[in-house]
Parts: sequence; structure tokens; C-alpha cells
Amino acid sequence: MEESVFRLPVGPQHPFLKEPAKFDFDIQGEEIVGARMNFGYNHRGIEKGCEARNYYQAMYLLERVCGICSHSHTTAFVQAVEEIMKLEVPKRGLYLRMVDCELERLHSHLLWLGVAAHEVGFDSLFMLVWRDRELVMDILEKISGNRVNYAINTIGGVRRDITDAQRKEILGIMKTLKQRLDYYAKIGTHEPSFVGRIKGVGTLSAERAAEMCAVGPFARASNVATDVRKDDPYACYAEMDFKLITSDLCDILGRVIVRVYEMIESCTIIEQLLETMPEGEIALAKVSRRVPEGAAVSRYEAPRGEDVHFVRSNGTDKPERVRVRAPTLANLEAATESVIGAYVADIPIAIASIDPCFSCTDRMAIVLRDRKRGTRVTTWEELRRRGIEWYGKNKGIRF
Amino acid sequence: MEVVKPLLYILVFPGFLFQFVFSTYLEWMDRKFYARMQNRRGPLYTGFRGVLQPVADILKLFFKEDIVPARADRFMFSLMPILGLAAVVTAGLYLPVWLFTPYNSFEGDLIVVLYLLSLPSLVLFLAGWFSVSPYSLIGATRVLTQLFAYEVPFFLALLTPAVVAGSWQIQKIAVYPWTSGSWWVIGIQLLAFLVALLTLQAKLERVPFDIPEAETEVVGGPLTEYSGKKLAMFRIQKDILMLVGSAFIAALFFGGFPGGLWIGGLWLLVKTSIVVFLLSVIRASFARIRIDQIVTFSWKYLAPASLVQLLVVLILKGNGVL
Amino acid sequence: MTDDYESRVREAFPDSTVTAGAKGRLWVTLTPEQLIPAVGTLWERFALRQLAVIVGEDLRDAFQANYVFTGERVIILQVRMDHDKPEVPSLVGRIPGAAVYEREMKDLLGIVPVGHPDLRRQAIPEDWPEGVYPLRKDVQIPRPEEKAAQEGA
Repeated sequence: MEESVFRLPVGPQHPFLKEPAKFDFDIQGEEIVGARMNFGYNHRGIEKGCEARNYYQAMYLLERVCGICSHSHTTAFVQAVEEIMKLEVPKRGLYLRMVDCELERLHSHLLWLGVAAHEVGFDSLFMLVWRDRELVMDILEKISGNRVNYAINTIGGVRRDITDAQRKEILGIMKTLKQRLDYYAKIGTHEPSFVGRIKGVGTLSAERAAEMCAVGPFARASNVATDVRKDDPYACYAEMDFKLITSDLCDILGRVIVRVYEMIESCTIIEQLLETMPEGEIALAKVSRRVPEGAAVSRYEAPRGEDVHFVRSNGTDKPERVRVRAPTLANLEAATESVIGAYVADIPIAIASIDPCFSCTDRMAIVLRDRKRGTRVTTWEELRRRGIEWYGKNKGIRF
Repeated sequence: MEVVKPLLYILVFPGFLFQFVFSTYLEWMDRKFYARMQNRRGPLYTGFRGVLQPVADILKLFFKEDIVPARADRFMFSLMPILGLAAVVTAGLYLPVWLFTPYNSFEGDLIVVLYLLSLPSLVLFLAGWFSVSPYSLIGATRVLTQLFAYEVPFFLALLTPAVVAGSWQIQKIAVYPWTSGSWWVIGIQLLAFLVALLTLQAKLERVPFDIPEAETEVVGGPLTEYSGKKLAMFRIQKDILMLVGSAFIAALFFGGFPGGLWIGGLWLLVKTSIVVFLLSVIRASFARIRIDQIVTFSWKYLAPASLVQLLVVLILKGNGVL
Repeated sequence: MTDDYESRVREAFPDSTVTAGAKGRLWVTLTPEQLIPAVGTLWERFALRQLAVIVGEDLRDAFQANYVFTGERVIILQVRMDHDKPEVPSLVGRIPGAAVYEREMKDLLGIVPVGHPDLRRQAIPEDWPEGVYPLRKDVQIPRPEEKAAQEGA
């Protein structure tokens, strides 16, 4: 390595990272010449935890994989279980699931747009976008009772119906939202200082995106037309009329464009769903708690990209193996690579452009007994004792 | 009385106390404007509509733990906030306020002020340099790079009113539109005013020129390692720099204090607030640009623009119009 | 339900059992040695290169790694390994995106991707004891202890 190369550690704690991950950048002047990534600071043992719970409990646990795309993980899991059990979910149930799914996509993309604006210091856009995100959050709260973990899915359908008044209200809000989105599309693609920061930055070619197995809006912005809703339609997406948005810009501007127009498509899908909502049951009345032996792979287009769940059952009421592949995991490596050649100032926006979610990515294990050093569990008591000692020694403060 | 007067002058008016009060008021106004433009409320609870919020923030910082990094140069690290604050407060003493004309005005004080206003950037660079942390170092080099980008256009822009008035004395430049009776000179300096406004924004390191401090990129730049009292001093320094910078631009371009103490004082408040308002508008309507973009921007657009303005003024002057 | 695609897959993998699942998913069983050529076949004959995920499983008497490929159809390559010798050839050379999944599989199940260039720990902490793979069925993770602080302790 040359003398002038300087290593800039970013993370695990850093203002641009909302969650822990570690990046090491080699820097020459302001240019990045190398990048490495490490993650796994936030493991919670969810996959192992699922094996010790029954399917319903596992579903609620999986809802907590991520705070943004909580509905995605339960839907993917529930779909896999329904596939193994060969359940036919009532159509109204599927429609309601899709409404939630698209609302979640809206709120996730709005959140991302705000964060992206914040990363390049465009706080005004950030504030305005997040104001409109509240519209979506309010709908979600009204129809599910919760702002984040909606708990709307159940095996064989959904848990809550929507009323006709709610249906009309959502349609009204969608109209407002569409206007606002048009405005954001204009700002996001025309405001000179914003575009100056994101155009031509963090480029990833279509070939490389395919090689690195990138998914979701990140891949679509590199002109890879991949969308599970189109490729392998689940629920009732085959009946919906919507466009698959891609961009051939291959940079962050492309990712902004893809996400903003995708939101407009989501509004259209929600309108279609609500207007053609069939009557009937929302869930199967009786579902066995035991799941027959089998395995299933479930694909789901989460806001950030393809969410894959693998479920193997063993004939009991507890799953044998649950595997969650969150979209961030598929994209991180490619995003880290796309930073090389950019400036230090581009790091936050380039990494943020995949909408990273490390809580989705990290799911495993934390507390155990270390055989070598005895207990690793630091009790509150011990922490307090250490704190008192430290202050007593260094600051002369006695408690 | 003769002993007390200079002390009053340095400590109370237009010295530290006045500057502190006025600058926190300006910061509150800036925050309010900025918040309203983003559809927020801004500070609300401390004092009348949150007017005391900046003071509360600074006071809070004073009571926080003050940490000096183990590897930092302790002396320089602690000296920098004081040095920076001293520089801007001294610059503030040259504010053309009506009362103390004999003390603070002499031919050439404009140059002194420009020099004093450059000091905070150097102080910031040294502060980052002596903190010895990767983010501080990157921030420090960015401070210097940015300084080279905006300083020349800033000087050129402020030269224009000086050339118009034919003086290096801020007092004389400020009263020129009144004494000469030619109000319209304010109009022909618009280009220089815009350049001065943008470069002042860069000097203050606010969006879109907050590159050295870019929170999401380099944490806090040179100030990453600062905390407690020292950070509070940097906060005060930044506030006063905003006050002094906007007051100078206002005095040089909008003309100074007509009609005695009260109206003159009011006029100072109003025109400074107008400049701060314009600065908030700039802050609210752009994204942060990159360090290479600011260098290109200032040398491609700002410096030529200020030169053109200077040329226009010189031609007018040469033809006896001014 | 045998369609054209399925028969082509059967033809491409003569030594394996091919099972058709719901939604047209095809499950193909392989031995570790067959994996690399099989991935090549998928790419050449079916243009499948999008590796969605690698799922490691502990089947108690054996280990199994499921390579989920997505594209026109979903094909899942199931590689069974001996319980004593959990090793699979690494796919990183062919599919760079496989690196993270292989690392995670190694951390959590102890299935070693042979030929992987970078086997630093990813999913488990640095001070995790050597040779304990949390997702194996014989590993029991005790519930974390919660103790309330005693006043004056």
C-alpha cells in the first residue's frame, strides 16, 4: 500500500449509519481507492428463535426482524407456510395483504427518499418527505392499529378487515400523495445541487449488478428488470396493472428515479385494489396448528428488494428451519464496491442508496456462556459497580 | 470614565455582551425561518416563542463534560476555541454602530476586518489538526480547501462598495449612499452583493457549503472531538461570525445608520435580519455540494462575477458617473 | 404436471432426483462434487445466475445446503453432506454474490465452503467460542439471565 493511502473507518457507530455496520475505506486525498465491509453487530438469534416457537409465535417474531418492512417478512413466511399446508387463502384476505404491502412500500420509499436527502445535506426535502410519510403511517395505523409492526397477517389470511369509510379515506389520501410525489419527482430529478451530488455517483453496471446478485430497486436502477411481483407473481399481483420501473442511469440518480416512480405505481396499485376489492371472508376459519412435513421457498418483493424465506417443516407445530434472506444482504457487497472511485463525501449517499437495513441482515445469536472466561453476561449490577469505580478513580466523585 | 469607557466598549457595547445577545437572537431567527420553510415550528418553549433556545443550548453545553482526546495537543486544543472567539469578537468591534465612532473607525479598518474574519477558518483548521482523529483531519483539510475557494471572491465582492465610496473605512463606505445623495449605487452593486452572500454562507459553513462539517460524512469535521465548554465557545463563535458577517455585508451594501441612534439602531437590526433571512433561504433550498464542486463553482462563477462587477464600477467611476 | 421446462431440467441432471414443488419450483438433489458443474449447467442451459440465498440445514443425520436460484423459474439445488465432513465447494469464483451466504453458513452451521477467499467471522462475534455453531440442532442456547440490581449492592 502506498504511503499516502489513509484508512478511514466508518462505523459501527456513525451519524450516517442508522444501524451498526463497519466499513473501512482506503482514501487518497478525497478519493476512495478501496473499501471493505463487515457487519453482524446486531444479531438477535431470530432464526434459532423461530425453531423453538410454534408457527404463530414465529410469525410474530419474524415481524420484528425489521422495523420498516415488518409486513414483508411475515407475508413471505406466511406464504411459505401456506404453500406447505396447501391452503387456499380467501381473495379478500389476499387483497388486504397487498394493500398493506403497497402501503409499506410507500412508507419505506418515502423514508428512504428523506434519508437520502439528509445524507447529502438537503434537509428541506427530508422534512417535507417525512411530513408526507405521516399520511401513509396514519393510514396504516387506522387499518391495522399499529404504525410499525402491523400484525395483520395470520396463517390463512389477515386479521383485520377494512370498512367502507376507511376505503374511501385511503383513496382520498392516495390522490393527495400522488400530487406530492409528482412534485418530489420534479425536485429529485431537477434541483441542481441535489442532482449534482447524485448523478454519476456510485455507478454499478448492469452486468456487475447481475453478477453480484443485486435485487430490488437497486438492481432495477442498473437496468436489470427484476421484480418478483412481475417475475413470479404472488397473492393477486398477476391481476394488477402496473409498470415495472427501471432506469439505465446505473447511478444514485437512477435509484431515486426508480423509487419515486415506483411509489406512484404503488399508489395506482392501491387504488386498483380498493376499487375492485371482492367481498367475502378475510381468513380461513380453521387452520391446523400442525404443519405437514415439507419445505417451501417463498419470494416476496419487499420495498428494498426480493425477500426470500425458506421454511422446512417437520410435521409438528414448530418449524424445523427458517431462513430469512433480507434484500440488504444481497445488495451490500455490490454497494460497497460501487463506492470505489467516488469521493469521501459520496460514502453516505452511496451506501444509503441501497436503503440498507442491518436489522434485517443480522438476525443471529448473542448471549451465551463463554467456556474460557466464565459468564459473558454483564449484569446491570456489575456495570454500575464499574461506573462508580471509574468515576471515583478518575474524577474523584463518590456516590 | 475614561477608563471605564473602553472596557464598556469591549465587554458590553458593541463588544461581547451585545454581540452575544444579538447573535443568539439572529440564530433563533435563522432557525425559525429555516423551520418554517421546512414546514416545521422551530424552537417554541424557551422564552417568548423559543427566542431563548440558542442561549439555552449554549448554556447546556457549558455544563457538559469537557473531554480532551488523549492523543491531542492539549494546549493547542484548548487554545483554539478562545482564539477563534477573540478574533470574531474583535472583528465585531468594528461594526459601524453610531455611538462609538472615535474608537473604532480608521482608514483601512475594512482590511483589518477581512483579516479577522479569515481567522476563524484557520482556527478551525488548526482545531481539527490538533484533534488527531481521522474525521477531524479530513474536516481540517476541507476547511482549508474551501477557504481557498471562497476567500478571493469574498474579498473582491467587498472591494466593490469600497471602490464606489473611494475609501477603506467602513464608516465612510456605509454612509456614502447618504452623504453623496446617490441612493441608486445600492442597485448597481447587486451582483457583488449576491457573491458576498454566497461566500459568507461558505465562510459560515452552512448548507450548501457545510462541507467541512458535513455531519453525515465526517461526523462533525474539525469539531468532532470537541465537547462541553469548548464546543460551546465554537457555537458562540459561529453565531457571532454570522452576526458580524451579515452586519458588515448589510452595512457595506445597504448603507448605514441614517437618522441618529434609534432609527440607525433599528435599521441595523432590520438590514442584518434581511441578510440572515436570505442566508436561511439559501440554506433551505440546496443540498450540500461536494468539495470539488465548490472549488469549481467559486472559480468558474463567483470570482468572474465579482470581477465583472468591479469592472462595471471602475468604468462608471472613470467616467465620472460615481 | 410435467412441462417442457421440467423435462429439460430432468434431462440436464440425469443423476439427480428432480422434484416439482408448488408454483413450479424444482428441487434438485446433488452431491457436493456435482455442485460446481451443476451451477455451470444452470447458467449455460437455463441462463440462471441469480443466486437468491444459500440455506444451510442441520438434518440431524446429515447436513444439507440449499442453493436457491431464481430467474424464469426457481430451481433449488440441494446438496447433502456427511455429518462428519460438512464441506461444499465454494461458488465465489463463479458467483461473487455467494460470498456472504457462504460465510454465514460457515459461521452458523459449520458447513465449510472449500476455496472461499475470506472466511472471517461475519454473523457471530469475534469472541464466540471456536467450534460452536449455533444453528446446529445439538446446540442449546440458554435463555439470557435477567437480574434486577439490588439496592446497595
